[in-house]
Amino acid sequence: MAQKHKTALFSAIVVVSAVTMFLPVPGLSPAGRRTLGVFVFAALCWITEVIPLAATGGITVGLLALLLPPVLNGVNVRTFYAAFSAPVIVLFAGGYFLAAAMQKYCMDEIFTAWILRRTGTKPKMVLGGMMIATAFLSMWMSNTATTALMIAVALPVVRKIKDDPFSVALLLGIPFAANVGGIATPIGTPPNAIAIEFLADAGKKISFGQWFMWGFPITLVMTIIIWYILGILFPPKIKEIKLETRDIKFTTNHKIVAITFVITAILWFTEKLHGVPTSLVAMLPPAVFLITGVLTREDIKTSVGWDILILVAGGIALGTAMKVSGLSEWILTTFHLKALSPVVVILLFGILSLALSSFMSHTAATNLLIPLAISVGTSVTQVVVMTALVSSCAMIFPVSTPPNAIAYGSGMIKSSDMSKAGVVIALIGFILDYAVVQLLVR
Amino acid sequence: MANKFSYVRLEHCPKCGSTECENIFALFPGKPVQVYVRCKKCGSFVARYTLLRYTSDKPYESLLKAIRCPRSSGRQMVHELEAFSEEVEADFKRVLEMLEVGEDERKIEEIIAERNGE
Repeated sequence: MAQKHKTALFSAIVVVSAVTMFLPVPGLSPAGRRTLGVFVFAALCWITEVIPLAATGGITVGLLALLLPPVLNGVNVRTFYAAFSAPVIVLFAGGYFLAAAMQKYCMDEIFTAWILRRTGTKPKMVLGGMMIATAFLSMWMSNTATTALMIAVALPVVRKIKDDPFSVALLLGIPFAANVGGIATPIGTPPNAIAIEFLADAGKKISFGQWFMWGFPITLVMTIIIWYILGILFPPKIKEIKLETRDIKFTTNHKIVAITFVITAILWFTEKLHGVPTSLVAMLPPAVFLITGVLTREDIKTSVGWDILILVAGGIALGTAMKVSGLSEWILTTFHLKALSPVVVILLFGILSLALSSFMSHTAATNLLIPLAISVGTSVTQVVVMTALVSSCAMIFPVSTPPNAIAYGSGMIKSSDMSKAGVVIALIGFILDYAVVQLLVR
Repeated sequence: MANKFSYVRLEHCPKCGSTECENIFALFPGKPVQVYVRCKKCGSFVARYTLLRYTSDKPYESLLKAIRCPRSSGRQMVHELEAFSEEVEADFKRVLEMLEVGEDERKIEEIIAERNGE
């Protein structure tokens, strides 16, 4: 989009949002109207991406802190600034430090090489190995960085077999596995963290292990299904594939990273036994890596997703505002959401999540949907978890997720190939998510 | 030489003036990646560059290796990938065109000093 079009669009969004704030909406308090205006601003900016997503997140917090305290008793700027220090933000920041160290010392490559040494050279087995490695890594690292690493590993072979349909399977298997891999843990992808934060705020605490019990079965089953579908859609002609991986020497710093990772993960999974909150445990990796010099100032600057933390904080502040201003309650009564059956509400939010996340950032989509979902009243946990889980299954277009975009950027797959596989996978993912939500989430 | 503050200059050997140089990539523990430039004709030290980012003749692969930070927008990622490949190609073409018109006669450190003070 040209700069002048962007300026015009942004100006239009500001005008629409401002007008919304002054509309005489029946039954909505002045604070509710102001929040509605900010919600419209955030929604339009996140959907159009006229300004960077994180900028919208930051502006949202700023606008709420500016506009609500004068018209709401008991609310001040701290109410909204608190979003930046929400437990999930700290948890996610800790996760980024862990991922940064794993990347810097190529622990991801070491793990991938270990997996690939065990898969042999049969094309479908190699694809399976690549997908397992990708899914596992993206449980702990960002889906984007995992995809970039794995595509770099696969690319030399993909170039050699570019006329074989299986080259498409190799290129699509990686981003798809990264997308579903993120579902398994609270730090796997931002929508999980957003869901956990909102549920905790509503008095429903979800532990790391609890989320894993819901998310991991989906990751596992979806990885197998995606592997199977890609094998059918793009069958190999070639009989043998050899992926080259580097031999990396294990140094003291590698040991520090590995031990810190294992201890952190164990403490995350055993929160119920020791009682130390996951967000507090998340401060272990930054402490260890900075004290030992495993990570430097430069690493922190380049490898930690500060912009995503601001984006998530924007959503959290918006949710807080919707609750305290009465906007959530107004939406519930106006649209008769309380009258709908829980099944309908779960499916409705699932469909909205899938539709929005196919075209826009799934973090931004859940930032908009989960504050609404949390207000539904009945089956809140199921509705919120469904919204978060489904957002990670939207992988139909190159723009649906950064991993999809990276694979598409190779120039070796067509958008139609991605959509063909992506539609089937998104539908299966939706059904599987619904089954897990109905059977396991209470 | 071209627009204001856009310059091109071939690396010249300070001893013999030759423009035939060799780039020696060097990586030492705890130090940033450096490139030492040696005169191919007389073997003298010409310059040392500290590398911020390396881009090979395959920009996509270079970008893959540079992606370390998580991203949240697929749309932005698509634009970034398209823009990166096109930018490398277009900038290289522009540099060659500028070189054909004529290189800046000043020493590289003088050009950098002017740039830093602009």
